Amino acid sequence: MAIDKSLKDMTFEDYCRTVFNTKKRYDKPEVLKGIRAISTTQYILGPSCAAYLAELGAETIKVELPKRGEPMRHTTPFNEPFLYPLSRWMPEKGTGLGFFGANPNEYFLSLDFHKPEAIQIMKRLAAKSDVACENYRAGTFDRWGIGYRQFKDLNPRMIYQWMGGFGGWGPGRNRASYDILGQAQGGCFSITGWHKEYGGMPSKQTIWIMDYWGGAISAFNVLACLYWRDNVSGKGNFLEYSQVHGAQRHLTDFISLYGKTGIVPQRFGNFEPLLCVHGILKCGKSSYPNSKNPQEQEVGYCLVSAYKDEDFQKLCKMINRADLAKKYPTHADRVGADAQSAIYPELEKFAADKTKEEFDKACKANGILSQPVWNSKEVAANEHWHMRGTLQWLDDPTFGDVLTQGPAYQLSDTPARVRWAFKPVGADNEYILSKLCGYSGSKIADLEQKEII
Amino acid sequence: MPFKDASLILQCPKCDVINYLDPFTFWNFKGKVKCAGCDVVYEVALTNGIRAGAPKETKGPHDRCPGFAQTKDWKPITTPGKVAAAPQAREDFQGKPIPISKSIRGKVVSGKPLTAADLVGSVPKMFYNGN
Repeated sequence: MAIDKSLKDMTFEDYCRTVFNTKKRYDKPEVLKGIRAISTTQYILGPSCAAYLAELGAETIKVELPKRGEPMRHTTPFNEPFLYPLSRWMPEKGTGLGFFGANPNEYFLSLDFHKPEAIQIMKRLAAKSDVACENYRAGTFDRWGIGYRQFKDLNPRMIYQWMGGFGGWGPGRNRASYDILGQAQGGCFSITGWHKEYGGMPSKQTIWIMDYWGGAISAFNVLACLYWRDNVSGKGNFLEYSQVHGAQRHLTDFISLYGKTGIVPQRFGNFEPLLCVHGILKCGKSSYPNSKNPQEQEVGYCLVSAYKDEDFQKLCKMINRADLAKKYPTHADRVGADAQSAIYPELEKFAADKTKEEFDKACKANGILSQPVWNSKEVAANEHWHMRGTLQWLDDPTFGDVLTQGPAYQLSDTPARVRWAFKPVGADNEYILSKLCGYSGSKIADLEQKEII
Repeated sequence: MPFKDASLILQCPKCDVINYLDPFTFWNFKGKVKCAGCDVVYEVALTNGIRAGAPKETKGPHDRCPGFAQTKDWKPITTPGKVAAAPQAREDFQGKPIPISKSIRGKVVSGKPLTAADLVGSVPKMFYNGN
């Protein structure tokens, strides 16, 4: 497509602002329009894979057990915030916000796989779908007769992505997995957490980062196979993603460090093994000391990065400790564990009577890279994210005014988008069963009466 | 110590049923677990997901059931009383939500329990009707 003159003459910033205009996101085509995916997933790993496809425009049908849905609907921070109804049969129950973010744009079908009629419905859906995503225990769907081997007979073009903890074969396969277990066995927690001088405890991510990462990698696998099917072979594919292997994949240099030297990398807390100064400092004062919300009264933290020799000199001058710059003049002098343990406490002494904003202001005035550690309130209030559409208030057709993340990436001509946050269990039973299975209203009502859907 | 004696998988020496000591429940645990196959009770102690050793038979009653179990030819055992219910799916696991009807910026949100009369299909009536 030729670029018109007005676009051609724009600055790069204006060009990006124009072609990625998030207000026009819903007016443009979707890159995966025409692709249909079945998602028999639960918790986060599998659902996030399906969600990424749905954000790009694939018609994604999430299949859950009738009435109560999948377990993640009942998992929510401290059991407090819910959106109602859970299902039309259980309006007094809600879906927990743990479900949020991993299931946008999907159509929701309820099926009880214990009933033979439900298995037949699954096969009808599979015959008309391009992709299936599931993360039940390895081999469960195969045993139920709705796994890849059965679907392949019905639809040789199907791409079937199984996701799980430890893989479908091998001596470690017979375990269920969680994000936390994958990180523990994959080696992540051994390097995330506090330095021995700060207690030595490993620390988990509060978010389920290995689930969302695994979902993204799985969606990446699916897209690769769609290319191979549609441009090379005409054939489907059976894909396996193991959460533990995924955890290992992003351990950067730590595995090779062990292989080369025998060194077992340790936790380094808010320090950084490769760079100094390059970490997070505790500031002594709260940014909101008079807030009624105790969560806002905590003291602040600020990131600072001054690992180049000249920046370190500026930082030492700023805290009135030029002697530290003389003692540790080169990066090689200060990157060692002992040097870092001596330097960071001196920086925190300077920050002890400051808020994170005051410390940040001092750094910026001295030309040093810094950033206050923002909480969710501060992130949600930031204009930059809202302007770029990575955060948005969504007028959800079922639940109303909700704040949600949008896609983190931009596509100029075929942008990803969030159309709805999620829906109640079985909300699209009639739509899906009539459209894809040809069932009448009375047939669907009969299935509901028999608790098959 | 062999892996099979230290892992979260407790394979019953008597009936070969594989009892999964799910990490959610058993990560740090000391007590008695009943085999989902033959009901023999074993003393078990785990620290940070690592079992102290091979199963030691003891007398009941048991403290907990395994989270999941399979026969040695991989047939699942799901009978209530043999295995524990999944924690996230239990009725009593749900807490007491804080009912809200407005978002933090003051717009309408469906954040409180509804009745069947409040619905049109699966959608709260207030949104269906546009009010």
